[in-house]
Amino acid sequence: METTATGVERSSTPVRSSRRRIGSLEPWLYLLPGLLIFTAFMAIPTVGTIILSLTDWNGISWNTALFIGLDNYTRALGSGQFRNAFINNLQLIPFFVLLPAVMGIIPATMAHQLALRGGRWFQAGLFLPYIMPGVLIGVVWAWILNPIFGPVNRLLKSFGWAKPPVWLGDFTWALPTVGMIGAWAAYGFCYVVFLAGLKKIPTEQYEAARLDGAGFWQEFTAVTLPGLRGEIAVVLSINLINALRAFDVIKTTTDGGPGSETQVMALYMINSAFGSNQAGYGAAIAVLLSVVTLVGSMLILRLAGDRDG
Amino acid sequence: MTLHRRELMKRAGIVSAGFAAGTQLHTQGVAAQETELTFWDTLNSPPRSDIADNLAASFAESHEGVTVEHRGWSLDELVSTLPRSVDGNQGPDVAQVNNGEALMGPMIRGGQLVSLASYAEQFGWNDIFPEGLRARNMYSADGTVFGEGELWGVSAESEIVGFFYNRSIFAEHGLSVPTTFAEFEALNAALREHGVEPIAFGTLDKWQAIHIFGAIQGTFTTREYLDNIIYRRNDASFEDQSMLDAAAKLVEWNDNGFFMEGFEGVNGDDAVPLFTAGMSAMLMQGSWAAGSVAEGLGDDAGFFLMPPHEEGGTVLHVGGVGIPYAITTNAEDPDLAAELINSFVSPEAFAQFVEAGILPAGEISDDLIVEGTLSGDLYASWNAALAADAVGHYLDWATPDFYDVITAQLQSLLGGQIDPQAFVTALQESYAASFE
Amino acid sequence: MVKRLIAYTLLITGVVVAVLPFAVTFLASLKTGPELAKGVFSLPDDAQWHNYRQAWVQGQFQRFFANSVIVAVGVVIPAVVLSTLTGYALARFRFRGSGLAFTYLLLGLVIPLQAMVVPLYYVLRELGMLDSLIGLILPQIAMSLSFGTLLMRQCFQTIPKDVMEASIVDGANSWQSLWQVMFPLGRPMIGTVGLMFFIWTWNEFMLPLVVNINPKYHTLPVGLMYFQDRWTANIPLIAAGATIIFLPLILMFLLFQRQLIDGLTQGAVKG
Repeated sequence: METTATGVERSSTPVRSSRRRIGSLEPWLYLLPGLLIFTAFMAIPTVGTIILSLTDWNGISWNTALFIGLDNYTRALGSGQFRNAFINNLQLIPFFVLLPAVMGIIPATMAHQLALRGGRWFQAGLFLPYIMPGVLIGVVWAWILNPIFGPVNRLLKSFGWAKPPVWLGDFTWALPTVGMIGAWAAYGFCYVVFLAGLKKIPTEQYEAARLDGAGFWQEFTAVTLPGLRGEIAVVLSINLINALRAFDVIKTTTDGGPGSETQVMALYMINSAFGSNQAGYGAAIAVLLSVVTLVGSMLILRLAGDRDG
Repeated sequence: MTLHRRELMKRAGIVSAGFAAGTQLHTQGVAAQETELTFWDTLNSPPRSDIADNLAASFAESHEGVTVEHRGWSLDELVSTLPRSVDGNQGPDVAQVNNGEALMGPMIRGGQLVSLASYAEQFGWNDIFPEGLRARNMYSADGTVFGEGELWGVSAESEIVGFFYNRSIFAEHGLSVPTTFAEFEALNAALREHGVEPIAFGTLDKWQAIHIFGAIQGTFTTREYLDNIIYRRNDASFEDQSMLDAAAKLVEWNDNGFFMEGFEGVNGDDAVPLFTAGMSAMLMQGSWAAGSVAEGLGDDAGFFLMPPHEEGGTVLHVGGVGIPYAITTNAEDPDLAAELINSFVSPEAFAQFVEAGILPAGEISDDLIVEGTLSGDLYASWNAALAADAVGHYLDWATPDFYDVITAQLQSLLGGQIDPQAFVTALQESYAASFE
Repeated sequence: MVKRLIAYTLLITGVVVAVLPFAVTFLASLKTGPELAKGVFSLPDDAQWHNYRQAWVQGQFQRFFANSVIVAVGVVIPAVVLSTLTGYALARFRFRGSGLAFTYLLLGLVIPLQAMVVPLYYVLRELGMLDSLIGLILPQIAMSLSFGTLLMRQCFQTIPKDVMEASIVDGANSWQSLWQVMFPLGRPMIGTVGLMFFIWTWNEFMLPLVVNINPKYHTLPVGLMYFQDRWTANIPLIAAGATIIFLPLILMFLLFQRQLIDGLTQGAVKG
């Protein structure tokens, strides 16, 4: 960076040198437009949120904002509501993260190996949930799971289950049900990513495994899983991010209820920031939520990286 | 999409209130020969939007050189938009401003509204509603104390929560409209006995839980206590016998199967078509649902209010005044704006609301009440409640975040997770914390 | 054969479950309220097609639709170009600060919009971008960049080094080699990234809600709110509006699904 002048000069005659010259301005020229727009509309607001999190601000009038240091953070970490929300987020992980991955990888493997017909149509159909607007997912599932006119309970009743659960309104079932809706929104995406990954595994590997007399399961563990390591890491971390910042689906189905059975961090943040005139406290929860998400996704990527050797 | 309504109301209200905190620009426009008055409200779909347009047209007609422009919004949008646009001096002269801390308080404190104290005297607005209701549109001059001081808004509509019922189902089982609480309970038990779902409503999206609880609580309480709780006066506490009794009664009703099976998993909005499709004998809802109910059942539907424990006794009903119209500081001619507001509570406006089956501001004259019709039932109920000063409050107004607290606690109560005592204790804890 | 049968059963079940909510929405858009209560899958006596006309004309969906198209195009094209540039810079050059720049750009992946929407409002206000389509476009470009940079960098990294070096030997500078060699090779991934951006932008709800006051600048998802009163919602109209929103996305996806798969296949995801 200190060789600004040469760097600029280099960039106009880059033929031999650009890769060797550390400190060249050239890559920064490519980065500049992106960095500028990112800084203005992502980074600055984010810093704004961090600053807000250190204040006691009611969200109404700036001149009432009061710097209070880390008080909001100690309050959040000591709050039973925040803990409850955090635990609920953790409980969503099997549904949002693992389930769709499994629901995606098994049919993808079968479709790939058996070279099924109509693959394109399956793929199109399975990907559809990814297209549905977040605000609509909950509304529609609330209809489908409606205990009175929804098809699910009608079906169960016709099988002789006189009093099936009320799903989203049930203290035991609400969280798993919300989790299943999250899995619904994600499994098609996982399928498509895995299918794409499978196409990259050289067929020789499968042939070799077959020559060794490997069955379906052995093939799966010995060839498919290692071959998809990268995709698995990406899918898991994307799903994890979705599990930790889950909002739309829960807001539109249970709104955190019944009681606070499905209260999650993002919902608690919004309710605190906007519902209770505590913008500063809400901002602190937002920062905590972002940190948890960051740590979680790094953990997954690190794990996958380690196995990579 | 019931979903975001509450949420956005809160969010939008508070966020936009923040936006209002910026600089106040008040530029005086160049005096034009033609005066343009604009008003924004939530009358955004027929028949309400037609009424607003009619009123605008007739006001312009009777005021030479004045044009009136009306724009209807959804409430969420109006709430999120108004403070920002007034702040930027792009706001309307007159707008509906949501009661209390949802919007009115912050806007007064932000210097965005004009006090209506002098106009109230001039136009007699103080006589439209009894004090208990009028207080909802009142704030102290500095916008810090809710429920007293000066008038800042005038409501053109009203609302009340009660029970819609299916006349055919009642007739089929030889049942009649109950006049006492005990009769009401017997009625529900009889319906359950006959294999008919008694009361349709839904608590999945939470808000109706407040209404059913409020309706029951209203039979155990007094005007004084309820006003104290909502206007946060005289050290009122949720640790009150009326709250305990109501909670216990709610649980009892649930155990006895008075509520439609599966109500925990049904959204409030979805309960209306369940009722109009004939799948329950009654529907617990507010007068605002009358249009949808009439569309589905016509005059086969009737309406009654929660009956008192003893015949002739008083019940405080959940309900109140519609979103009030206020004058913003963007108004160049507040006097003219006040006249416009006055036209919304004129006999002409009144007649149009009634004709559309909407509860207007104030008492409805007897000649408009046709017995045996849904609207007739509704108007008679409203007049009775108004005459007895028995229109109560929405309990979630108690503190800014009380909606979240009370709905979660009610779901827990109905789900058998907590007992009435724990319920009341939790409410009081949250209420007390809001004073700190 | 048994394996095939199982596979088909699994896939068909998966597709049915995936499609179900769309079918429910579409059916609801043709019903009256009471018909909805009779069962989600019951067919309406009389298809209420007028719901669509009402949404389109009275609900102003024609205007919102135009806005959504403008915003989507205005976000997707610049976001794809900028992601290509940043991804290229991070994949092709080794330079001090590259790791830092990459990490910085990736932070967008973990910060939810809800967490920064209030300060963002003030930024836009300072820039005079409230109540405009540009106020929707620029922040969404920024929000798209994290994901775009990640994928484009990976994509360019998988292109063999000698391909690029060959172009340099031919006398191309880095700019020329990007557009003449790398861009065409990375096209499947660029298609994928563009499609994802399109889906996100099309469905974005919170940002337009907070940024724009004037309905002149509303996009489709916010337009759905027009179908609700203070207390009641017109469910069939909401369903019709929702169908209008997701139909173009479905068409878009059917058109570009080969791109999507190819792009994902190409993007060797390295741990």
